[in-house]
Amino acid sequence: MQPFLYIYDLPNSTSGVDTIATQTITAVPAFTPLFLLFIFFLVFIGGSSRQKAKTGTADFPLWSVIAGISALMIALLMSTITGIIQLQYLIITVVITIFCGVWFFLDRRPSEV
Amino acid sequence: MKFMNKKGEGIMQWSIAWVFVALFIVAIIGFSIGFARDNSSPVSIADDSELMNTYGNVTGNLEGFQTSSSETLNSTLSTTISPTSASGTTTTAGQYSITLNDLIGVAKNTLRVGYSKIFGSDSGFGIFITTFLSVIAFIFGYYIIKAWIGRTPD
Repeated sequence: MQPFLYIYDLPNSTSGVDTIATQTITAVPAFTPLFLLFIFFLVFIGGSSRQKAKTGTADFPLWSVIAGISALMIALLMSTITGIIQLQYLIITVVITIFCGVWFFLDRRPSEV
Repeated sequence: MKFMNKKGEGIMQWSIAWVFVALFIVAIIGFSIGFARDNSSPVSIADDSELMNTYGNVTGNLEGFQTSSSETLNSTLSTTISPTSASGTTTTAGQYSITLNDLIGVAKNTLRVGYSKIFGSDSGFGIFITTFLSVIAFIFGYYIIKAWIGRTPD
């Protein structure tokens, strides 16, 4: 019986999960920014929609800050291994988090913050 | 900016918001640098000179805000009224409005790094940041007039 033929190169799974991630990202460079985008919108849309369902209103600036910091934490963890994330993606994540903070602090009312 | 037209809101809310923005920037960038250093990360934002310049500039703005706030506070606290003056008016006084100069710097540095990192340094989108900074300077200017003269420019 012939072995199954793959139409792509399988990552080397004998040297750890980080090697699989590195080789996958080497083959598909867009994986990292799209993964961080997924984390951001997962927290942002999930948190704000849940808050709206529960309380009737959603604090979008607050959830954008939480989503930005969540994506930044993931990006910082990815930065500890060579080849997982490029410097420009890490910087853009930091800048987006900062601008979410600007939106948050300029949106506050006197009873808040 | 919905908070500007509400009662009890104005220059203090606006100023404190920008101070918190500056503290947030310093905290986020400082944490990222420390994380990379502690874990010997191969990718660190400390390798990007522009972001490090922003970090230094915003820290300088905060230090300038702290210095000028202390000086104006001391000036205000040491305000005296001459007992021999016929009018009884104050002879010395300080204006808190001058501290806003550093907060305009915070807004400028924040927008500049966001503009260059997201839209690129050679983009033709520069009119956006120019106009936005002009609006911020316009708002600060009117709030200074409001604090100084006592009129409401809204």
